[in-house]
Amino acid sequence: MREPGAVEDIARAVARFGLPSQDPVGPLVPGRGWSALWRRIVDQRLTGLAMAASRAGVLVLPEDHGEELRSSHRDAMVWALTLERELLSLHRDLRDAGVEPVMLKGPALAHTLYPDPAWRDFGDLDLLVRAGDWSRACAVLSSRGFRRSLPEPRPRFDERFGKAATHVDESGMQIDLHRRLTVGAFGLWVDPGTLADRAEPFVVGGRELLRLDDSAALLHACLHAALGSAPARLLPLRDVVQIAHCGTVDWGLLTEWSRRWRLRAVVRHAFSEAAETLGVPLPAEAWSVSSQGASARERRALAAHLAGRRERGGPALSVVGALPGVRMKAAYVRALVFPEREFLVARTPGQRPSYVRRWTVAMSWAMRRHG
Amino acid sequence: MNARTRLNRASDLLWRDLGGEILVTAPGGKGVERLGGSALQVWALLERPRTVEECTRAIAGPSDAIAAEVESFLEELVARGVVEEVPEYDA
Repeated sequence: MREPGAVEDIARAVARFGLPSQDPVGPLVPGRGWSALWRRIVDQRLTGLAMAASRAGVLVLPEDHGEELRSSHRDAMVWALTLERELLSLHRDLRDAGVEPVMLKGPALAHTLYPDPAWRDFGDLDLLVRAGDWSRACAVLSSRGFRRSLPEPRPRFDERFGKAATHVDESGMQIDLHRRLTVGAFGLWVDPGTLADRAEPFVVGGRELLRLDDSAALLHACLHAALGSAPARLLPLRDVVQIAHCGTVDWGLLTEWSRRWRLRAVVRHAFSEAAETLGVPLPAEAWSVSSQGASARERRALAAHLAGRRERGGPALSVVGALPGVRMKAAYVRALVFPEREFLVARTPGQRPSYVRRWTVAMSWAMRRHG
Repeated sequence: MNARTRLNRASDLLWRDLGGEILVTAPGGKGVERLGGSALQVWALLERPRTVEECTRAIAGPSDAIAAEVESFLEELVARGVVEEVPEYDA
């Protein structure tokens, strides 16, 4: 394997292993490109899919490379099990506090939509809670030794505008407590309560938890794939295709949600990226979801999350346009322009907290946007 | 635990099959255990409830020495919360 693109080609082939592909997968022989491929597989959390491909004879590895992959996969699964053990204990405490969380991604997908939970790696836990439960859920996490990695810019910012708060403990375990499904304008447009109302039970370690149903899980996978990072990571793209093919998706409902919550551009972008990057056809119904044209407003909001605008405050600026009323917009801008000092300190570790520096960055975003 | 004690995988167990080894952890436990080699036979057998005698006979055959080792291993798995005794009325 000599071509520079070959590592990425094989990584993508691994990411589509087990799906109905247009191109036959394998045999994939990384040869001298193994080290780069291995790093890519671990970084993209694809060790489970790579192991399955290796066992099926699709990914052909000599013994030493196979052992390296096995070792990485074992590490990934030890961590996944450690997270699940924490989840069960945390879930008990949350229920005792009257909070019923809905699991997003990670274990919820691994145990229900993938053929084997070992195929779907995850490195943290994502829990969606209702706005009214937010404070109690944060208190439960705090009582279990978790601390927010970043404080709120101003009191009640999370409940009014925030997507999620990351909580970490001393061992490095990370729990993302979600108030909304995504950042930016789309986070405000989507009603998480509607999706939480349709949550379904699933079982982990003999305990019944709640997860998004397949239609909502696909919507969330699209949001994560399209808006989570630019360029999109391979595992979120795999999630999109996995749910589209293996989930019991109500395509009519997905179409209605996409229209109602202005997600047509996002869903179409996620479907296109997933199909093109992985080289996997999507069910025909998927394209009908976004067949009606997205509005200019939707397209602008999507562009704010993509490479180029994303690093220049695109998602934050898109929120201003999406918030209803002048008072809400003013409260949001005030929180970001005049955050609490504790927030500034946490945002600039090792530096002297400076409002002026923060305002300069915000000014440069605005200047570039209008320049 | 005696020869007629019925055992099963713990109902609240968390586990992953890595092909050639199983990783398990019990909700109340701390570490993650690796089951490989002959432990995989025990794991496969306990997909449904079995008596200690059934397990030892399947793995050790007529060898009393190996049967004693299997019994000891089963006791260890019970102590770690990986395997649980099935009450008579559930059997």
